[in-house]
Amino acid sequence: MELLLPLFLNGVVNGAHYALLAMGFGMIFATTGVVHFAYGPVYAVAAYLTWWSVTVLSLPFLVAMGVGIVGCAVVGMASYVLLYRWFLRNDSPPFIILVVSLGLLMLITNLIGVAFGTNAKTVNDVTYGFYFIGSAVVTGVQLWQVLALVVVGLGLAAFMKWTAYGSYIRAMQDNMLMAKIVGINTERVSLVVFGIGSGISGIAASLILVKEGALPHMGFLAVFYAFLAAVVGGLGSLPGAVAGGLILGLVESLGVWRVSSDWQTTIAFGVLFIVLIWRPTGLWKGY
Amino acid sequence: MINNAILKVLDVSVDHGNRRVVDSISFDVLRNKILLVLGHNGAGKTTLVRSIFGLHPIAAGEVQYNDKPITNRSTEENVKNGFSFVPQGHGVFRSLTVEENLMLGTTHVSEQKKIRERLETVRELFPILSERRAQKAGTMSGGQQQMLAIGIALMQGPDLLVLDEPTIGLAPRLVNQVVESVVKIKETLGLSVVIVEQNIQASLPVADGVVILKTGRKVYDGAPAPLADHNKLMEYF
Ligand SMILES: Nc1ncnc2c1ncn2[C@@H]1O[C@H](COP(=O)(O)OP(=O)(O)OP(=O)(O)O)[C@@H](O)[C@H]1O
Ligand SMILES: [Mg+2]
Repeated sequence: MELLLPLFLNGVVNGAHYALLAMGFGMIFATTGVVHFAYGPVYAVAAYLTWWSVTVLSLPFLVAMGVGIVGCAVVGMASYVLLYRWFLRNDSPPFIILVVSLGLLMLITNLIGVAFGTNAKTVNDVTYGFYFIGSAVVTGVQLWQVLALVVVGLGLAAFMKWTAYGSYIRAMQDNMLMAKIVGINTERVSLVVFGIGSGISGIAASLILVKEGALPHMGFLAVFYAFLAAVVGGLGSLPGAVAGGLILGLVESLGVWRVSSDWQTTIAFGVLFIVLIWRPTGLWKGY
Repeated sequence: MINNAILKVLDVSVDHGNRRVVDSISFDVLRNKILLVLGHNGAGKTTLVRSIFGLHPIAAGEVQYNDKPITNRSTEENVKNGFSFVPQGHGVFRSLTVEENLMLGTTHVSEQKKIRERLETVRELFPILSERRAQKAGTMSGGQQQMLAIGIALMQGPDLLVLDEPTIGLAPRLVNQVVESVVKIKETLGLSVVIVEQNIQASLPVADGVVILKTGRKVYDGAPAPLADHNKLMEYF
């Protein structure tokens, strides 16, 4: 029984990480229609830029994190402008765009490996505390991960509800054709969405760097979880991404209580299947 | 001589893939008049008006708006310049409220005073939209959604309004209501209007001019009166 609390807390923390990833990924998909698998390596770019800023430039961690987030947003926007936009303009079938996205995933992953080497990068100078919750220990990084979800989630919700761009994004998610008809510059909004979505993943990436370090292929599993959590919650829904991420994190973590941890990924898929059989469009719909 | 046409369509052709769907069509839309565009299913009416508005590329020919070329201009530029479009089907944002829908019509309007005035005009024209302002558009009836779609376009403050089959799928009573509201809009706001229609009965009486398409070609361009004769009309279908 005393295992349960740490497992639960661990599930919430991992879930917060998945939820952040799902938010950015789902926002990009729901607004632009692009299943952006290269979201994974773009996220990795943020981790590497943060690492580089800390260890090579000796920048304070928060500044380095900013570099990572901005760099990641720029790479995300570049992938839209240089690649996806062309296919979207030519009305390419979604399948083609999916293949393009997988190609970009391989490309960026390899480029990271070439630029930084394939060994793990860690930051050791970033210090953080340990806290007791009941009998369980949580680290400062874990708290930041949860805090990041809360801040980004609330911030994004406010942005979507109260700003002009937020309403354009909701309009595009609802009806792309009508968005064009009312004169929304859908390409400019798509660019902004790629920037925001990627930037959000950059926050998650910088924290994971501190917690686990960075590897060139770290994006594979990240985009996989982003996709899973977003689909479980309902693609493009903000509360859905939060719920999907937390459910995934909790089920995975609590599952280990009874079965071997080898089953973690299988459990994640189990959740996906069960939710989708029950609710084919995910738990939530729309913002 | 003052040019009385707000929109000039000159030998416009449009393709879907390799197929020419609109073939070298020309017509004028006169100021403060209603032009009716008729044609059988698949004649190319939607393709034509969508291309003029910038939603689909024009392969050949030219479009002039207020005597300036606007061929293949973006929808954003058209809306900014007073050219609005109401698409076929329910041209609304279903998951957003009525109010949010209307406000999306003001994407390029910054003056609060104009926004308030237009909101007032739209609510006077369609009182149901002010009763249902907090309701999700997707939960309204087809007729109400059509009124909202027209309302969104009016929020843009257009000089030229193009409507693609605004009465499709509506009950007969609503068909007349929508057609009447379009006439009222034209008269009170001084708009120029293009209506694409299949419902000839309801729309012919309010038209000032008629263009008929048949498999992508123009087969009639003239006054509505001769078409009141059913046999004459059927020649063009
Ligand atoms: N996206 C598309 N891709 C390929 N062909 C298309 C597309 N849209 C329309 N077409 C074809 O173009 C032709 C004209 O279609 P369009 O929708 O313009 O006709 P319409 O006159 O508006 O018909 P309706 O009265 O049914 O709305 C049709 O033969 C149709 O099959
Ligand atoms: Mg049509």
